[in-house]
Amino acid sequence: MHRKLALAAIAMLCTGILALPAQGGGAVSIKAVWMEYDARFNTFWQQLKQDFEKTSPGITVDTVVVPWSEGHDRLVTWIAGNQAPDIAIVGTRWILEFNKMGVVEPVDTLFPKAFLAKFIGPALEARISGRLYGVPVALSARSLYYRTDLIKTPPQTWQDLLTVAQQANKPPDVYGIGVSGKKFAELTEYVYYLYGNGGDFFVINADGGYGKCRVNDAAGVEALQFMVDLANKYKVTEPNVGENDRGTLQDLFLAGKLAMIETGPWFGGMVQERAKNLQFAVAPMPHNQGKKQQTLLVTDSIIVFKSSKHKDAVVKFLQFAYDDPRRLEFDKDFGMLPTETSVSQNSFFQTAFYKPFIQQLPTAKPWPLMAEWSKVEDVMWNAVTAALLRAKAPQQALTDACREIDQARGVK
Amino acid sequence: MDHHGAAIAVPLPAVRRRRTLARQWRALLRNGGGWVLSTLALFALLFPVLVMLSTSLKTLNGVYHAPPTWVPAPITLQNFADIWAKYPLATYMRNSLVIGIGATALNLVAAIPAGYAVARLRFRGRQSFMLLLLLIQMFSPVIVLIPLFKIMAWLHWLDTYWSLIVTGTVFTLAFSIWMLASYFRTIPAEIEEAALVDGCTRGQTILRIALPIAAPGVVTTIIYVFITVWNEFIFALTFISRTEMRTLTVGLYTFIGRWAVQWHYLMAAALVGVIPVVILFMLVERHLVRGLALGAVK
Amino acid sequence: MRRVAVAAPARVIGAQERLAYLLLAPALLLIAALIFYPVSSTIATAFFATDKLGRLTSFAGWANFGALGADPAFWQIFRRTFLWTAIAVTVKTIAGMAFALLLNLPFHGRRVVRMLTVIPWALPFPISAMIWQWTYNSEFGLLNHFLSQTGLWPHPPAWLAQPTTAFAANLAVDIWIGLPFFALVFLAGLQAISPEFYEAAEIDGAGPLSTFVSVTLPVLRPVIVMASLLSVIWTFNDFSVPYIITKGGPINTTDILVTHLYKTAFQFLDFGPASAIAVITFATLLVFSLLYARLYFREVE
Repeated sequence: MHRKLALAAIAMLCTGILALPAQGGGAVSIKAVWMEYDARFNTFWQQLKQDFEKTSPGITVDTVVVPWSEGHDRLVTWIAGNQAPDIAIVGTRWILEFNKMGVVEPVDTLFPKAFLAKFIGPALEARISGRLYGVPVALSARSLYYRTDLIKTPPQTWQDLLTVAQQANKPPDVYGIGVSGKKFAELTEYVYYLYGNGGDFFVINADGGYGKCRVNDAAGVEALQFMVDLANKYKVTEPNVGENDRGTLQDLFLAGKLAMIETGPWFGGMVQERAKNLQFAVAPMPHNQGKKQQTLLVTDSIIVFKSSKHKDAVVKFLQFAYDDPRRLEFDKDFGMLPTETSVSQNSFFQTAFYKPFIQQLPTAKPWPLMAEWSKVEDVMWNAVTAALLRAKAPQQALTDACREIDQARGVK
Repeated sequence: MDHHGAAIAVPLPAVRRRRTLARQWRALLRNGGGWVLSTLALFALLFPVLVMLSTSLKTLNGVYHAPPTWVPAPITLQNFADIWAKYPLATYMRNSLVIGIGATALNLVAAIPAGYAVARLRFRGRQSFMLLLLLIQMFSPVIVLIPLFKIMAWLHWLDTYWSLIVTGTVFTLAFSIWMLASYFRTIPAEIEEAALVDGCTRGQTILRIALPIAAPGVVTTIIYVFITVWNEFIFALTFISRTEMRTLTVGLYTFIGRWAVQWHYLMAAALVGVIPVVILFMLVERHLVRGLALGAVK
Repeated sequence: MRRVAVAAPARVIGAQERLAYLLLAPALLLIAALIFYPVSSTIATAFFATDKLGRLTSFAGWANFGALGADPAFWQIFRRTFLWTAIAVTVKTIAGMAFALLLNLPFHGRRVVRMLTVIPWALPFPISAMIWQWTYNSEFGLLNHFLSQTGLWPHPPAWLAQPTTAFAANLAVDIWIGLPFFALVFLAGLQAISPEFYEAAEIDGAGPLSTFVSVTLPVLRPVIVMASLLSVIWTFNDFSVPYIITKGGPINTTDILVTHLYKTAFQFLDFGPASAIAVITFATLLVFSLLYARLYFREVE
């Protein structure tokens, strides 16, 4: 019995080792790294690959799907090891970093004008000094989700938000609104309050570049103070803000424990899938009274690497990939907003659910685009959490953060 | 069950009778005490595993319940059927098995002679060698990732089992050489010397005499290497980019999406992933004690 | 424990050495092929300024180390890593020994118990960390639910929400993951102890405790010394647990050197300082190992 087992193991090992991936003989092969949005993602891109290869003999697409949470770091490793793919999906805010490495090819000269003219303005975020470095693939804006059985009229201002949250807050059954204090891939709630208070992260220099950090000004401090008050003074948030990130806040809403949550369009599909009985609606992100309504806009882009030897094939592939029915399928599957004018006119997006998202797009503001953003984000997270946990007063936390950020960026 | 009695030297009759009685009492106490203690210890140790089991039997809607429940309502086995049918878990498992078995085999091939040399032979640089083994462990895989990746690219080993078999082997050598050496060291030199005098070669002595006696050490090594390689994450994620070459550990990440974790699938898949390791452990576990039957070791 | 002397006459030492090097060859080859370049490139990078891809741009001398030394946050993390390692390894060693003794008792069903004990180790570390994070959650987690329902701890804290409890919670997971390794290694060690030793102790009328102290511990000493040394190295570099469960937070209070290193390298793309942290980690562990190894070699020589 043992000998058999050992033999089986050896046989398995041999077949395994011999089954090395075969190289496509002579044909053009492009390698595409897709960051996995959710478990359906792989199927979508495999289907695209098959359809494309059927219509384009001579070109094969090597599809690599990476978990989103690991995607950035793996891409860095592959680039550093001179194994950059031909194209990859990236968070648009990462492009600055990759551009600084000198590995990203501008797409504005690579693609025909007609192709790039398809996209709506806000989607074309990846502009650096007048050049476009990424083809938009996913677009989202953040909005307020609220429970229609608990809240009749959605809040428009922070003052409304507080009132509504206080009315809906019935701990420990339901908490008014979710606030997260655990580090996450992006600086969730604080940026919504900052932008909704007319604040910003950096002073914009005369040349359009980013100057000193300014979150410690009145608008920035007021935004953080409001969050801290929601959690600690009015106690209308979930009690343990330190343990939650956007993911667990969404879980709390799904469990019926939150009356309001601020997140992106993908969450609508999740509620329908995971908590069928929950009655909810979406409203534009609340803003401070007297300030302009403004929310966060986030895009992902497809970048083309300079090292790619088959840019013609890449262009052909992406033009194939960006036909309207397929884009609509992508937006539906992954809960994204349309990036093309033609797709945005589809009846799918003309619903009460999508209206607040699309209506906010013209004024919505993206993240700052800078190579040091991941450092800035890390420092900002620490400041927000420190204030929420009462380790520091908001003013102090943000002043310290600005000092650290300016120092790291070498700005005086 | 194993029987320690086999190896015990025969004591005097009077002592023996007294001890038989005592032993019966003790057996009862041991069984009872063993069970009580084991239950308590295992409950503490397996608490998260119970959480996994409970969650893996929940529906997607059932996962989002606060306060949580231990017993799902309704209980479903659908998750196990789903993960098996919808995701290439079988492929992931095969890849992990090939890599795990390959690395274990390669590790033993390198570690048995090295362990024997360290334990039995005198040579210059012995302490340095032992220290070198420790040095390997001191650099976290996290920092050597990029240079190692470059080596793999240079060898054209990316997207092959080799990349993970070889790294898995090297990063487990320290423990296995030490473990085997400490067992070889306990074998009385006379046994081996007798074999050498009888005309056995050094190789035969190692394989026929030393290795069987060191069986518990070999078994511990096998378990350690296999589990470590089976669970390895960061190399598998970096060196392998094709879906069909993914290992199970990386495959589990499919259920950790950008916006939400599919807890019901993740926990079901993780439980399924434990099964091969448990089977391996059951196959080799009794050899943990076999060394004793062959000769009591001083 | 009787020392085994391999009675090798002086004149055959040459042949013995040759045989030894031959036997070591496979292991040495593997190590040389895979470790030499990564380690030397890490050490080199620590003394250079790099671009965002880790390519060396200019010699920096000790500047990377100087910058770390001047950073109070770094020293805090450095001290925390010591605390983390000391607590985790101590608990793992003691609890691992307790488990091994339990698993060595000849009771019916112990094979099943042994099998179940391995499970925490058989789960991939990042997945274990994810599961624990869910288990610790104050709303969804079954841990606090269990503690309050059974009355063991009516109002347990939200473990991951505050720095101190989050640190303790991370430690518990590291210990949980590492415990089966110790239990197994100690069990294998216990199996190697001849029953004659226990017979002798029993005839001498020694109780269980004095048997443990006078028989078990001395025999297991080399095993304990080496397993805990390896565990110190592994625990010092345990990346998955704090990185996944709390992302080093709240406010970097659960960051240890290796998570700090990872963030510096892959998030901030500062490969020079990251390599410097790796070298500091290496130097620290080397000094510790050398001190500890003297103890170890004294045992086995």
